Amino acid sequence: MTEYLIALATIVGIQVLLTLGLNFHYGITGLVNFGHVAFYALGAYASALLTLAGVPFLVAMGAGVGVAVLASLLLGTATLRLGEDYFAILTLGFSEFVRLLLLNARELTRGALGIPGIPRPWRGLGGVPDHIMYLGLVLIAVGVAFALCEVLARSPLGRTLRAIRDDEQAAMALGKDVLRFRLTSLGWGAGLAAVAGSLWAHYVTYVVPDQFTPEITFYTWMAMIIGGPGSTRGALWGTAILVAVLEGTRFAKDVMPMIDEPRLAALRQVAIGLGLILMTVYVRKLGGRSRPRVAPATVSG
Amino acid sequence: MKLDRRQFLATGLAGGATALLGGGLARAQAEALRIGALTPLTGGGAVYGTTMSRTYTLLADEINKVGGVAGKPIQLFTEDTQTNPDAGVRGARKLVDVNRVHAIMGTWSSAVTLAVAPIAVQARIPQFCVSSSPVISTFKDDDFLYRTAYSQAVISAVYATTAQSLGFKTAALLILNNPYGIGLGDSFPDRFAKVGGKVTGKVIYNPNQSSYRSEIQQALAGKPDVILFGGYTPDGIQVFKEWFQLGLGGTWMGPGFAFDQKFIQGIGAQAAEGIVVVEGAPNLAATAYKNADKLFRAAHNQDADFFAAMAYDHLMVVSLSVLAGKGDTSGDAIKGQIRKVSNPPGKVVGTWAEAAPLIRTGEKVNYEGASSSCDFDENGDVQTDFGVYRIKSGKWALDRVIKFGELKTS
Repeated sequence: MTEYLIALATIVGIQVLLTLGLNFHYGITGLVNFGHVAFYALGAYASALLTLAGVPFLVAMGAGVGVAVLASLLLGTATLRLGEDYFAILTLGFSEFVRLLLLNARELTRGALGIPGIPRPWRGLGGVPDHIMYLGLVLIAVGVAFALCEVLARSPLGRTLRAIRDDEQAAMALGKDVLRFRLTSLGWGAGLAAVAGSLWAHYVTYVVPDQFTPEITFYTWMAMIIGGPGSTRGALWGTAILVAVLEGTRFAKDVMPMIDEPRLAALRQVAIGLGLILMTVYVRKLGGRSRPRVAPATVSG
Repeated sequence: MKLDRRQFLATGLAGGATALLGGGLARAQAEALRIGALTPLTGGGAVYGTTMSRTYTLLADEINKVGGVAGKPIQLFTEDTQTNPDAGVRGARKLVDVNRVHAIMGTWSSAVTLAVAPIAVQARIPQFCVSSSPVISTFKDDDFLYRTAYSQAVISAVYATTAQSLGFKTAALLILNNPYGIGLGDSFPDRFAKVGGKVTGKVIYNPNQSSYRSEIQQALAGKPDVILFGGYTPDGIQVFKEWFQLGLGGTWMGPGFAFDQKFIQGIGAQAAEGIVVVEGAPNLAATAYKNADKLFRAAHNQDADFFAAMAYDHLMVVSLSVLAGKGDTSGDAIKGQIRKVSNPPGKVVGTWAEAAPLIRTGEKVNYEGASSSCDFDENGDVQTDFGVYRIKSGKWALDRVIKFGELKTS
């Protein structure tokens, strides 16, 4: 059981990084990013490929972050001038584009075969068991990311981003370069997602494009909404609840009277959906702060 | 209902306590042989996973009724991979860490199998899969990863031999972009060249396209004798229809799971006439298959298909290995017995009733499985015989059987 809880904590930690990144995009800046998984995938693949080529883990992770940030800037430059809805659709398209690229760039990524045998860093260092060591690594990453998000959210940058989120035109009128600030936000969030991707790749030691479906993006949205968009602490809570619902249903299933297992599995999917809806409706905004509702500025013509 | 933070914590703690209690229960039954059935029960592989999961239950019941394995009842823990590597990993972690299973079986899709394998290897327990990617043969698994399905490397040799025996000189490949399709695309051209054939075109297509017309035209530009199809039923129907409308020549060849009854109905029996079907058919003559079929038919009123047969073999091989190891359920002990009970020499057995008395008296047995002879080579792969069928009036008609030994696999 202890090992299982350690595994769950590791998975939650990695997912928290994703949620923090998305919270930066949507919660703080108001960017409706439906393609978050793309940055996660880029971080995972870049880090996996480089480590297997002999590059040290931290350098590989850094490179993964670099690739993801670069991709986010390219995506942002091309699309951020568009309205919110169009940006959302394009990000979703972008994440599928990245997945298909990973699937078809077979010389580089081995395509649908995936990349097995990605090494875990610092295996057996100091006699600490592998899984505890890795949890420690993930917790350090989460701690740093959390502190960073808190500091950034309170910094002048964070205030400007929130101003842009709440009223783009007012921010523009104050002389803020809205596009540049949005790009900055997109880059930060993408970097966090890439760290999560790198940690995931080295945790499961195998990556394949099948892992990077839009499902991940929407789970992340779910976690952020449960925790309350705009709240860094909420990202922690929301993610913990998300994983608890996903995993807790396994145990609910174990104590069920003998129902045919395949039917039980289908019921479990129903329970997950129901659980997430209930959590979203009743438990959201655990982090306290949430996005203030501001009436949109109207321009009378 | 409005949960405040305190109530939420209380709920969480109660949940945690339940989980811990569950763990305690698992430990209290330490004398059981704990099997983790990790199959896709939802998602793309649900059809196959459901069959497999039900077969595990049926066989476990049968063995438990006669006293279990070396006095240990088989206890099944079922988890759903959702045909998704991430969910598969979480399910495997639960099976290994909470239920402390002695073996994992049933991973479908190569992506799921390869994501779960590191967990099984690290826990030093055997994992049985039904995936076909050649990577699984070469994966560094410390001999803990076994499969009862055929590898794409083998099926390529089967297709090559079949094409040659039917007099086809040139072939084109139309294959789906997934590990199974790509494995086929990588290995078939060499195999076909070895028997004097030539591949004139190879196109990898992506699933869920609205039209495959350009892919088909590109693949068939060289006017091949035979079109080797490497996909599944739904895309198969669409690709075949478009090919038919284009009026291009050639004979279709492909796997049985693509050219099933649904496929034949989808395209019409007339259009299907003459299609070559290659299938690692269940080991119909073996007592193992007969027993699996009997169990499955009694419970679900259906034939045991290839997946049911493979699931039967997974649990039989593990149970026989534990029995031969005098009840030792450690992964290393099971692994040490797997080839001893399933490979020749020894008395050929196929059911628990046949095998258990012999093993108890110390006799060497050779388990002849329901899906294949279940003789595991050094990679943990089995050697399967194949049936070659032609579709005649909407039905498969057996053309010939290709024995594993006939294949030039080197």
